[in-house]
Amino acid sequence: MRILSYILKRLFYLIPVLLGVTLLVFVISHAIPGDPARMMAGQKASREAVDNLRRSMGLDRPLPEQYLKYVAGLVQGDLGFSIRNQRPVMEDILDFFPATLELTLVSMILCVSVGVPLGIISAVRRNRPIDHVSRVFSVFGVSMPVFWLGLMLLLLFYRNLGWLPGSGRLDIGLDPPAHATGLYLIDTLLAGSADKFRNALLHILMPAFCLSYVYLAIITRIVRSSMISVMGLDFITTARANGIAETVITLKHCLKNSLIPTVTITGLSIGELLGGAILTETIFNWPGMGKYVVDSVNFLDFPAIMGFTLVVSFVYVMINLAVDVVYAFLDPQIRY
Amino acid sequence: MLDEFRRQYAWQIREFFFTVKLLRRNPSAVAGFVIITVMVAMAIMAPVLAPFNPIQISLSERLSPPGGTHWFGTDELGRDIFTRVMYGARISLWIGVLVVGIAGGLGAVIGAVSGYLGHRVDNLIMRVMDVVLSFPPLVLAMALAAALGPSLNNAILAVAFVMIPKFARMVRGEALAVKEKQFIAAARASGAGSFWIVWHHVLPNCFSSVIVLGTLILGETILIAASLSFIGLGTQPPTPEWGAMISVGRKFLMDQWWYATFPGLFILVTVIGFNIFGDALRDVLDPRIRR
Repeated sequence: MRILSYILKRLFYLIPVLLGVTLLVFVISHAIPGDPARMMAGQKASREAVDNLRRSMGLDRPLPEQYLKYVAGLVQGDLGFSIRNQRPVMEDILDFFPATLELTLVSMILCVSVGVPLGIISAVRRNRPIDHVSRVFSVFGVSMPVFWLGLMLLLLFYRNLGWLPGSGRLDIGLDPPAHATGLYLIDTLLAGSADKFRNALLHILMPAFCLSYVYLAIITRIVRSSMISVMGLDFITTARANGIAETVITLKHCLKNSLIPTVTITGLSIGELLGGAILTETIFNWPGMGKYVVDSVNFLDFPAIMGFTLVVSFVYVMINLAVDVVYAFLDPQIRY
Repeated sequence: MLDEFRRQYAWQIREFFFTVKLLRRNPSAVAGFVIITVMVAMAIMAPVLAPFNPIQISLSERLSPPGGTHWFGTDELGRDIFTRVMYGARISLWIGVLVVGIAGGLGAVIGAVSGYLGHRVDNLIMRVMDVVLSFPPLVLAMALAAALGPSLNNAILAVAFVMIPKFARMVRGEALAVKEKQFIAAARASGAGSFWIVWHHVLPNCFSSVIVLGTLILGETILIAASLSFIGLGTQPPTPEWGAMISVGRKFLMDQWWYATFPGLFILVTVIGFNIFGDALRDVLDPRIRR
């Protein structure tokens, strides 16, 4: 019950934050030095045509009125029209979203399934060779330009070794699986084609590793340091004195108590992965929202850029909320 | 004059040398410091040390592989990549220092005012900061840079804007603690105004934390700025900038591996330098784990 009221309270606090987010995006998109109406109409359009367009787009109205109209549109899922292809930005983003979601999810799985065990091992074998290796691995991770890592992976695994495909979600010539979830790894399984599943898996490996490396490094460090701080506590010594097996102590007592920082950082990572997807998708030609927005940047397609920004920050805010709620479940000591 | 300075700041001077002593004993601090020094030296000395002109086109030598004359090879216009990488250090470090300077300065003032004044002002400022933090940093920097127009200065402004809340939040926390100290009460009792206290007491007390955070953020700043250049929103050609070089080099990746490889390697090493030095600095200055 207490948790429920906490969730409601948090949802209530969400309203001003989301309004702030829309206001900021609105201000940014109105700081564009160029004239959106002129951009929409094209350079050759007559002055009259541009004026007409400006009036029909509502750009001649006072700013507060434009903002209200903008928010009213957002509530109905209207992100405006892309300058590039004249389609609603929302439709474009929905088309590209599943690819990004798939990439993000696989990266997340990689982060947690490699980062957490690596952190545990480093903590247990503190200051031993394996810990030093993991430290170097982490320092490289947080210092790595993601786009460069992607290129180096391509050089090694695609060009030199030829082990992995270099771009896209499937080999050219393979038809995408029937649309069920939009996630190829799941759709191919649902369609029962093992070959296509294998192909999709090979395609996602490099981009997913590239995207996850930074957060893998961060998660490893956080798990290590929180495990070490829990290991020094009295109840661990007691458990050991009671003769509980070392594995049980590590995996049950220590790990469980160091979950909170791990959950925080994992949650934050999901949001950041969406940002990192901009670079990774561009490098690997992954047809997701990130590649879509970089293409839009090259066309200076502002409605598309701002739509993407808004959607990503919305997801980011929601994930942070979810993380806070998970806290409330994980740690009975937290009182709100 | 010098003696007076020594006497007046005796405690700070002792503290500074003690910190340096601790840093010299810390291997990663030394390694980080060496990397940073080499990069800064390279940036400053580029016009003297670089073997070629960074924007001189020499089509007969285009895309030649690394070798005796061109250590890192040449690009599609025959320009020496080693030279361009050296000049690139100027831009990346300049961006880093400028962004941290702007964001650190503004963030510190905003945070100090917010923490010291408290109540409604604090609430309002922190909610605004929350809004900025509701975006993944690269995404917001990209949107801002795109709206302002692709150029180096706009990229710097965009990245600085994104970094302000990090400083503001930290300094606010420190300001909340400083505010309760007796010397603040004494200053207030002797009639000092709020802004005078913020400027003369709160901000100086947050200075060392701002420096530590600044060092730690420098690496991230360089990465975000290079990413913006990579997607075409930062430095414009022919200026030699690491991210922009990789962006062009990407087109030649399959046949001319050296083009994108070397600039990226320099980004990586520079950022590692700032990250390990910043981490060590934080450890050394943290009274809880000070050794």
